[in-house]
Amino acid sequence: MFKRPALLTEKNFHYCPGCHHGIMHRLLAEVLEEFNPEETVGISSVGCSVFIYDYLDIDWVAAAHGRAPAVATGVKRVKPDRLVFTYQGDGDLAAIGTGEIVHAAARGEKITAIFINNAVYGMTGGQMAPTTLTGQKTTTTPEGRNPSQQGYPVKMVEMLSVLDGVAYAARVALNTPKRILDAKKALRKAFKVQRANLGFSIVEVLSACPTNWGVSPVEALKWVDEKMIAYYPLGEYKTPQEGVE
Amino acid sequence: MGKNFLMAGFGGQGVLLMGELLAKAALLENKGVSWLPAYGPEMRGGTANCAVVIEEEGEVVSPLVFEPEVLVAFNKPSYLKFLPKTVPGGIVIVNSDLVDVKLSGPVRQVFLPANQACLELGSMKAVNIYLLGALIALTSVVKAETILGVLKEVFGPKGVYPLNEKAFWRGYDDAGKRANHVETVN
Amino acid sequence: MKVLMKGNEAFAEAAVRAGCRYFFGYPITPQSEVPHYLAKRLPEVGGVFLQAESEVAAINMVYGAAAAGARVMTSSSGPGISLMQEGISYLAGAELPAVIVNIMRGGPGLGNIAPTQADYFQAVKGGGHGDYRVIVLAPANVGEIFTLMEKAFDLADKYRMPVMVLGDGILGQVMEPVELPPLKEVNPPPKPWAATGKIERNDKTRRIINSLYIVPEENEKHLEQQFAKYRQIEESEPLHENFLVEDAQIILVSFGTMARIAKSVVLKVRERGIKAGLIRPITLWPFPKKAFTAASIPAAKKILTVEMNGGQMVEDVRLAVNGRIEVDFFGRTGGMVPESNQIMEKVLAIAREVE
Repeated sequence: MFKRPALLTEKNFHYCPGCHHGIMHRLLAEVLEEFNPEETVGISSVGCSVFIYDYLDIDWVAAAHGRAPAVATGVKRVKPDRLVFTYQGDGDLAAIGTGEIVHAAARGEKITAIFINNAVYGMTGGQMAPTTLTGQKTTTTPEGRNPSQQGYPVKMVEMLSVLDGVAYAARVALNTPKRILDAKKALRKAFKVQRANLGFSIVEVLSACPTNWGVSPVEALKWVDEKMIAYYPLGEYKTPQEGVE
Repeated sequence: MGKNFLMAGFGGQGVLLMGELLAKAALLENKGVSWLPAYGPEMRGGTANCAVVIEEEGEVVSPLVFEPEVLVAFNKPSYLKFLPKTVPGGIVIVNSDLVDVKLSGPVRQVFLPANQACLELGSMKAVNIYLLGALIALTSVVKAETILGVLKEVFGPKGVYPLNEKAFWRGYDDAGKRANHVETVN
Repeated sequence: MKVLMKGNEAFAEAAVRAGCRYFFGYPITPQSEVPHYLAKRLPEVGGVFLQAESEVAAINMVYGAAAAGARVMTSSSGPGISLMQEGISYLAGAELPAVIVNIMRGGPGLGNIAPTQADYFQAVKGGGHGDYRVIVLAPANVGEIFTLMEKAFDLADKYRMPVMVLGDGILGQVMEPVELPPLKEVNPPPKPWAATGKIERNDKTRRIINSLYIVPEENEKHLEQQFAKYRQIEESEPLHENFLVEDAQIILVSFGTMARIAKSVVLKVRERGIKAGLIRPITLWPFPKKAFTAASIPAAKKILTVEMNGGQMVEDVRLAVNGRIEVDFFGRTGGMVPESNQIMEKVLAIAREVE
């Protein structure tokens, strides 16, 4: 039961202690193995997960910051039979790549977006993300995010779920074993939606970043509960009436 | 080098189409040809003009016409703007119904009541074809029958072709009649 | 049989005949007939036309399609090409073949939609970030659009790099007779490097399309390979047209449609007994330096570069002659086209000086 998914390479993750990218990579590997990994092309993005192609043994195309949904569109239009997904962080998907994600969703592009929301920019040094919570301290909001100056956090799956092109939109978290199982189910469903050509699918993953939150990995799990889920409710925001169970 | 034509008027007068028809006829006669419209905002409601260059042999060197040898002025602004640029000895075909002035210049000016003639034929829309008839009569750059073949292809043998055929010959004849007693003002 | 075809439509049809089946773009004047034409044409041949939400998205869709092994293109005009520079840099970094058409218009900024050659520097000197090159081709008439578009796709695949085809509003809008090349089966070279899913490979090895080389030593090695490729291109791919240069004392240098005006000037001044000629670079990068050696232009006393800009290619002409001959410039910019009489006056003045 606890054996390493064959799709994960031997390379050790470079992520910080308590970071949830590792869990998500493993879930992704497990779910892709249920489909056909050989038919899969992943689009990596810019952020902490920029080296994801070192960890998952599939074909990859590395995209510029924010552009993964456009790159995925190009791949999918050329290879409509492939399973194509993007793996993007909050800066990538919800700030610089807002246009690309919204329009890929609006077109009902048959791709799956995996959206890691940890409310902060990790790789560049803990700056404010579009999803940084009100009052949250980051290196560019040293006094805490102040809505009168920096506005409000962006709720991506809520926004995207109103688009007709979106077939599946869910928000999950990884801070309890039960939620990890739910996340896996959501991921599986998102890929099934793609396989059934029902439209665009997205899974937003509330993810811990103890390093940039300035808390311990254990406290970070609590922080996800108390701060993130409170603002970003979990659940399926859109799901197809039929076609997938 | 080839013969340079410039046709200019308001958008909607069929200026660009006139040039295109001429270019098509030149192609059918295996001549070198280019058609270049002035494009952009001026296409939408403002002035419209296009340049046609026809080479008897070989390809057109430059499709741009800075100084036309033959100018077709559909209206007053075009007449005022381009007559001074027409080369000495060139031909200026003028829609006299929309041009109420006369510039002097070392060119042969042929004033034709294109609007009035086409109204008599039944449609102002044929003004461009009327002036095309005049242009062929005055320059013989392509054969009249070639142009008529193009008109038939473009307008369809039934449809509006009969009207346009009439307009073509009316322009052709009017220009022929007037060509000999038109001012060449210096 | 020859047909009359508009330049922009020729870019589109030429791409189809070169085996391109994917177009991603965003509307901008004066190239709109390219997408108009392909929106209708590509589905007829089993291809995909997609109007993107921006030029930024369009070029990244091109990047994705190229990564998956397709012959793919986009077209735009100056402001849109500026937005695409990020993607072009990534295409170069990831060694992906793609064709980008720029129907240049007046700039900088919003400028206007009149014809210019103001994007020469942007096209030839880079445009995007990083140490890379883009092959740049400049057709001068509708017939040549067909030959150079086919060449663009072939070069892109051969060298695995982006190729830009530069036109201007005149070339985009002009209609000229063209002999359509036969619709033939196009067989682009195999692309075993493409990320198409392991399933397409017998050995089940995987592919990663990437421009990230985090270790500087590795990035330098990667770029040295690119530069070896660039040197090979500079050696074997330059193209130019010579027109009456052998005995010419005054050599005009012009590219694209501007060269046609310059050619008409050469013919006019020749009538007056002035020995003028024209060199028309067809590849702007690699620049056809060999056209400017002493042996290539033995009678040359002075060179006049004529451009629809404030003076850009003239710098490459000066590098090519390396001080051996004086290089003068005439141009108009901002969307104004140098008129033949203005160029002629300049040539006549040079002729008096050279006598």
